Amino acid sequence: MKKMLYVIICTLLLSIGSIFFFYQESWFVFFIPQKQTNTRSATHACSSAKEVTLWAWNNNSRFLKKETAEIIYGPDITQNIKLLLNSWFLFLEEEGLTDKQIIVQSVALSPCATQAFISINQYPFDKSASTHHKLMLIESLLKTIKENDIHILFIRLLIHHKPLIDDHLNFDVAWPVQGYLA
Amino acid sequence: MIDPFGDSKLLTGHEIDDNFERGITLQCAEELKKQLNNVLPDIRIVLTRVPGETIQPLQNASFSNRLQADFYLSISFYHEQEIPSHVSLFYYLENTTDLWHRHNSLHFYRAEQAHLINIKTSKSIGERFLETLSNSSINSVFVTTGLFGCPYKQLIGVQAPSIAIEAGLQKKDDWKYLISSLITCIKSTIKNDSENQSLARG
Repeated sequence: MKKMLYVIICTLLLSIGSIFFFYQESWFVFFIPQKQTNTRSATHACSSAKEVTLWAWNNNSRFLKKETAEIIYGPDITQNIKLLLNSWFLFLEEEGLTDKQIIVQSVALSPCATQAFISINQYPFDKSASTHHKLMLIESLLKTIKENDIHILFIRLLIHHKPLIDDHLNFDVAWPVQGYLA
Repeated sequence: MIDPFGDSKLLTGHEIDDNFERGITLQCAEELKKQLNNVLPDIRIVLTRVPGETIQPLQNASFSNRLQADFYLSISFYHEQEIPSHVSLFYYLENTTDLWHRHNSLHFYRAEQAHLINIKTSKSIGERFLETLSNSSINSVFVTTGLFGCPYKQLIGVQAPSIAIEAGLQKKDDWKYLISSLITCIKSTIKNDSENQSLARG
């Protein structure tokens, strides 16, 4: 009887341990569905198409390129940033300024809504790019955010929700939307 | 103090002409040290690393701060296919308001704020470097892109006036064209510094 109890306890602890291990390794993901139907329809009702200006640094001609695009703007700032930056990355790809298909995965705001945490799907720079080129690319991203009525002060770039690590530029700090060249 | 970018383990840097940046920066730093020792024998020049050394985060900054270096120069390179090659200068800036900072010797500074202590000097040295490098009679090979204040990783935690120089190289030995210009820049910085010191003494 006692042996049986030990077996049950061991099996139980092993199962709990495995669940925690799988959760930690992200093999299990718990998702609690929320009722968002009303919010979505309300958001959709307030959304409207807006013309935005996209800026990009052209390394060959060494000046900032400008283009306009139309995106859906709503009351949700995170969604606006996501749409704006996705069309900015698309603009870079169309202009041949990057050969990577970069997508903004998610955007979150700090509690005081001054800082945006922007998570993208891959390292955004070319491996052989100079620091100047990388800086100008980020400057054009900041300019695009600043000039399109996105009221945040700082951004933090992340890759798959983890800090972006670059050999030359420090992305552990928040980058001011104002930019460094202003 | 001269900081050649890279280390023996993880920081290999850009690939230039089938070589890693870390090796080229070290060659450049060693040659710069050798030539500076000939021109300015009264000045002690220290390199942050030797071949085969692994560098931990903030190790160079800590080294420089403990030695109380008067000037910190970080050197890095990248591959540039087209002519002319470019050269950029950087100083550490976390926020544009950093330049408003007034140094108070009684303040405790976090490692990430160490740059604030000499930020104005770093900027003025950078401007002097830029002016010298933009002079075609001193530097005829590299075209300057400018001086930029930004969160430049190699300068985190350095108290001394510090700037970073990044040059584009077509071939692995093109750094040799930069040496004489860098010596002129450093000489003019030292000359200006000693003039300021003698003015301060009255």
